[in-house]
Amino acid sequence: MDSSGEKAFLEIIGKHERIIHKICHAYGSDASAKQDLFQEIILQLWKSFSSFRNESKISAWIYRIALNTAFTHHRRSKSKVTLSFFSVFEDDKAEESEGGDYQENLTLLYAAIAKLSELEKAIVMLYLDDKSYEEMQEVLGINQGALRVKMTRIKEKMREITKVSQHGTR
Amino acid sequence: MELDNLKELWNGSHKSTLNLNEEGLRQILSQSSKSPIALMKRNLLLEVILMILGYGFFNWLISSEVDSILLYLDKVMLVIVGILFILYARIKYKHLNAMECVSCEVKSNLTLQVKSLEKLVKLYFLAGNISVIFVYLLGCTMGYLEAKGDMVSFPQPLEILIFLSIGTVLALGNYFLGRWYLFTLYGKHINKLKTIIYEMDEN
Repeated sequence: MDSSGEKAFLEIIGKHERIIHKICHAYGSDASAKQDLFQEIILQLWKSFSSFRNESKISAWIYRIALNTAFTHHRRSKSKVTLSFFSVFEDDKAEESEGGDYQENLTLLYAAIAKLSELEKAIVMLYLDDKSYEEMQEVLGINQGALRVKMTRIKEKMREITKVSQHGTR
Repeated sequence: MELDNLKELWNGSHKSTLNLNEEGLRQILSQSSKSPIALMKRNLLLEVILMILGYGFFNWLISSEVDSILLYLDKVMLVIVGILFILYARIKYKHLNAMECVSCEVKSNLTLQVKSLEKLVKLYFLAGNISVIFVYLLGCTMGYLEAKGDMVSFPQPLEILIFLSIGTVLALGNYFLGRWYLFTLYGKHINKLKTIIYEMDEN
């Protein structure tokens, strides 16, 4: 692909980077795993970019590729190469350790998400990103009725998890 | 903590950006993919390279021998092994290329991957078991013919017993080792994907 293709690709990634970042954060166990996953997602997005036809929303396309990659990603060893811009994943720790209610709640939210199954994580992320059930179906391939049932269960589960976490920390 | 109240909190997270530029993108693209399919494609390439080297070596070994009935049998066997390997590599490559659709819906992609992976594992298992039995039969026949020279006769009962015993141990050993190895390599991954698909189907 030529440099105009690279620019168009980078523009899309720049606009939707937070989707990838959140998925890496939810599915990666540590900074190195998050870097690995981010790299793999970018590789897969790049490979599919030439066949992207604008038939679906860009965010749905990114979600599909990122989640497919996260579900099938098989990490055997730590990355040997750390790219300079990946320091942002190290900064997550610093962000988390900054005090305040906001950070505390965010940490609690991620801790609760970490306790969910792989699929539940994906559903909850799409829900928190304000995606409709129709969009969720477009990404996951699960019918809307089943998604609603699952979402009700996840809400209940999250309530329980955060209740236990809050009681545990106080 | 109510999930509906957390959307604002969630959407405010990860404000720091990676600032991925063209150079950064090229750095990422220069790294090799760690996806299971990419790993399997690299493994296939390694298998082909090893096969070519092995094939070349045996070809050289045969060509350095004097003409005999054994040499003729060796050449026939070498051609059969070559054809079987090409067939195996072709089927595997075809499966690997049709194994995933990362831009498709997650459920259909995972289902496709599980089905293809299971087919590939069966192919691996079958090819591994057949090739060990084939090589054993071939080796024993060659060895027997070479040892007997011009005095070829029907093997003695004890020779047949030894031949069958070693063959059974070898075949069974290879069968269980192959099962364990393939489960370690792919079984856990397939089970993980199956669990996700099962959860997707569950109501």
